[in-house]
Amino acid sequence: MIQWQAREHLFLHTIILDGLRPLQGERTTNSLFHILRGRRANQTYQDVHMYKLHHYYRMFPAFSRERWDAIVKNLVEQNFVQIVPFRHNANKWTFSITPLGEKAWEEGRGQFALDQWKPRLNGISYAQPVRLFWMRLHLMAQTISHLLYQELAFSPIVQDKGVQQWVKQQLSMPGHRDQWMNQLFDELFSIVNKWEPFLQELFILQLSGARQAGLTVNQLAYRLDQPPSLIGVYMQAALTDMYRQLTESGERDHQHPYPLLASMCTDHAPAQSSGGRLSQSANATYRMIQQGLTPEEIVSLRRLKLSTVEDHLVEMALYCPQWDMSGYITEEQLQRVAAVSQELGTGRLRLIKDALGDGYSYLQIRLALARQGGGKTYAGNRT
Amino acid sequence: MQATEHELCGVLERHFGYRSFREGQLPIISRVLSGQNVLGILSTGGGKSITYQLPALVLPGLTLVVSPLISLMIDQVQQLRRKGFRHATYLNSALTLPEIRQVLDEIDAGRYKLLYISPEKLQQPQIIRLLKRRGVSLVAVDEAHCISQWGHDFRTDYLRLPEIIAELGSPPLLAVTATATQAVQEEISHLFHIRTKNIIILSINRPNIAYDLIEVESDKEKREHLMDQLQSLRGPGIVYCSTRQSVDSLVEACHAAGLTRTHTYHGGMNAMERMLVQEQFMQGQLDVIIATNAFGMGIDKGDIRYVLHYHVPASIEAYTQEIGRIGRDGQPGYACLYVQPDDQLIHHRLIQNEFPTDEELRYFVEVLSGIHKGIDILTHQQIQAWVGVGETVARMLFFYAERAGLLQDVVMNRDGYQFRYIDGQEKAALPLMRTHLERTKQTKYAKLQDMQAWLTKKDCLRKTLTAYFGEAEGESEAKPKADLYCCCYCGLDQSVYMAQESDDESRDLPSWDLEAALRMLFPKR
Repeated sequence: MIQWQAREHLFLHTIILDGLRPLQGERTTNSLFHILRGRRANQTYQDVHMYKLHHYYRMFPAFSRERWDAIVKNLVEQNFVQIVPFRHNANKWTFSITPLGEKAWEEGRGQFALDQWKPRLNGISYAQPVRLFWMRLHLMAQTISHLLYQELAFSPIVQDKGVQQWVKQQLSMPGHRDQWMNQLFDELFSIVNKWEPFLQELFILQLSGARQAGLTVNQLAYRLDQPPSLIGVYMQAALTDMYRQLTESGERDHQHPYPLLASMCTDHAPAQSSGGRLSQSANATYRMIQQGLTPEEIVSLRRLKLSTVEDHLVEMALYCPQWDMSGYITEEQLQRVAAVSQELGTGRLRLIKDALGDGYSYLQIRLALARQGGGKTYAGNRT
Repeated sequence: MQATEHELCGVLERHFGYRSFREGQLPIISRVLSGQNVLGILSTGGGKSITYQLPALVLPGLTLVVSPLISLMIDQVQQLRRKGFRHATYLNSALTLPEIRQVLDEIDAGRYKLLYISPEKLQQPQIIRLLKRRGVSLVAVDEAHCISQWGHDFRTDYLRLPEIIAELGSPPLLAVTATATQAVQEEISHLFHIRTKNIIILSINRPNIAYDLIEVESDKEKREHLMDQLQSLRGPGIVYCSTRQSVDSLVEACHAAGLTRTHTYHGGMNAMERMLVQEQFMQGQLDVIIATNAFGMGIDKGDIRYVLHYHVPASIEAYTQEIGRIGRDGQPGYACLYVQPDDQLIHHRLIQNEFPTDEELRYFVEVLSGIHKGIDILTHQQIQAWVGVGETVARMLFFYAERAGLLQDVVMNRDGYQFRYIDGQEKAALPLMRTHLERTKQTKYAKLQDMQAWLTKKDCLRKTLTAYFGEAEGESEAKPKADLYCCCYCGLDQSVYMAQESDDESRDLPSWDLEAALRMLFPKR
């Protein structure tokens, strides 16, 4: 047991050192805290992009401040991390990782196979849709299990009203209930069967049914003899793989190998086809743009300021990789902005605009920065 | 309206599936149906809900059930729907705005006979207007002790209820609670205009529960005792602690000792995990829940065999409520309280954190007087930043500011508070708020002292507990049949509560089989 706890600490230290490495000398340790919690702020998006920390975004959404502070304190006490003054401004503080910290990181990296699962995670693009997918799957599985056992009364584990509504809607469509009852087993079996047994167990045992309630992360950690946080990370990686497989396997027609599971990835909720990540107002703009309206028309129709609609466009560039923005910026301009930003090592609009010279609007630069890297980058600050 | 006992029994059997009323239910129901205000004190698991659910079926208009517990509302409505009673619903902050609008429309259309509502929703003018139009036949106030400032669970939003009920045209009122001392009973009856002859008290004594105390000197000793008990007692059971940290560390110790069917439950876990743990416990996958007092409300599990208190609870009322979850199936059960002198300090700390300091109180009044201009708004973030207090303390400050006449029309919503500031009241209001806050705080300390006094009596625990709630000593049915099942002073036969040797749970996990595991979830049709 003591050993188990020690491994949890070790794992968290490894992840945090790994996340801190690119930030050293540039930011405070807090930047990583915000990334791990998945804070929705331009500064955080910017950090994620600049320092290529997509995989860590929203990895631990419930991480408490106290716990974070305790860990950082511990890292400093073990002399893995040093708090140092900023290069250009001695009044501000940043941190550096000591050779001792580097060594600890190197060890942990191998022990917890960081390189194996890190590339599979991409919280900035997937954390939210994957979470919604998982809640729908969990409630649907619990509901179907009870239907198959012919026990109509149960307490839903997922309390989210939107998810409950979604499941209700699915099952009330004619013919759908039978389809779910007949085919959910097959779809889950064939998709999960390809995984290694360890992941299968991790995944299936979290589901609830008429004869069992799903296991909690701590129970799985105990059963599989792994640190709880690592269990969470494995689960996130497995779900992300599954989600991508379901959404990326070509057209979603009736040829889809997993039609039921794939239907859980789409969003029938208010935010139609924008992936549910746009703000409500931006979503309205999105739909109008899709109908062919210009930003100016939207401004007058919705009585908004042009700058507000432009903010919406940047949000769309960030969250809707399918949105065609060629009407606003050419592919060539896009590349150019990306290159300049890379070269200067900055996301600051003013600097980029100066370097680009005339012919680029702030909006174009913001769109390009947001879209950079396939819709998984940052929104950029307006100056 | 008058209905004969025979008719009421018919309704009971048809709709609830019971042959006869339990003790106390009929006198409450018949008084309510004849239009009187009633206070019913029924122990947890004594069938409180029937006392308003049955009248709801019989009465012409709407029956309101005011309850502070969202999970309980949802649970009861689900249970009723399962039984085929579709005219029940709830209004609380768990609903989204469109959902609330839908429920309101349905109420207007006359779809419901029974509406569970949270006290803060019942404060909203448009809801009151709708209910008035629709016609309310009965208001049931669940957990009625929350209205009492002398109670252990005082809720500020309960205090406005008498006013709102008058606004609804003063329909008959039923106040129900599981635990109320003499003083609390008097306050409830006074505020809700309930006559003494309409107070129906059912003994809080539970003859099938045995009471035990274990006195220890140190945390280490306590922990050892607990491990022994958990290994030998027959489950399922609950262990209550005062802090999350002790919950976590005790469960770790259990796992280390091989007690793997044990899980934590506290407010620091996310909602889905809490539901999973609760459901596992209900389904028998877990033997022991180690929890803070967040666990247990609305959990309807009949076969809980023991409740252990690792820390002394904050009041005798809280203690009675928590051990009331034992043995609702009528089978023998065991309640054990660990007593360690230092544990009082935990509560002192909790109380300190719950109330504003004098400095925070002064800041609060200063901030208010600085920003006022007609109707004002303060967001939760502003309060946090300017006064330096969290949401619990803020709610308390606004409540007492309104009571002291400094504010009017205080409305809390998701973003913060809206209110009207009354000029020139600061001088008088500040000392008044200070006094009120101090009094409420002292009540909490007094409750702790009552608990302490009970623990040091060294007399029959059953007798002294029922005496605390104002029941006469030596009532004939207070004693269980044999002293061996009473308490650690009268006599206690521990072996009754021990697990059989054959209960041993050391099963090996079968090797992983995906198909079998999935088939368990989704059997062939």
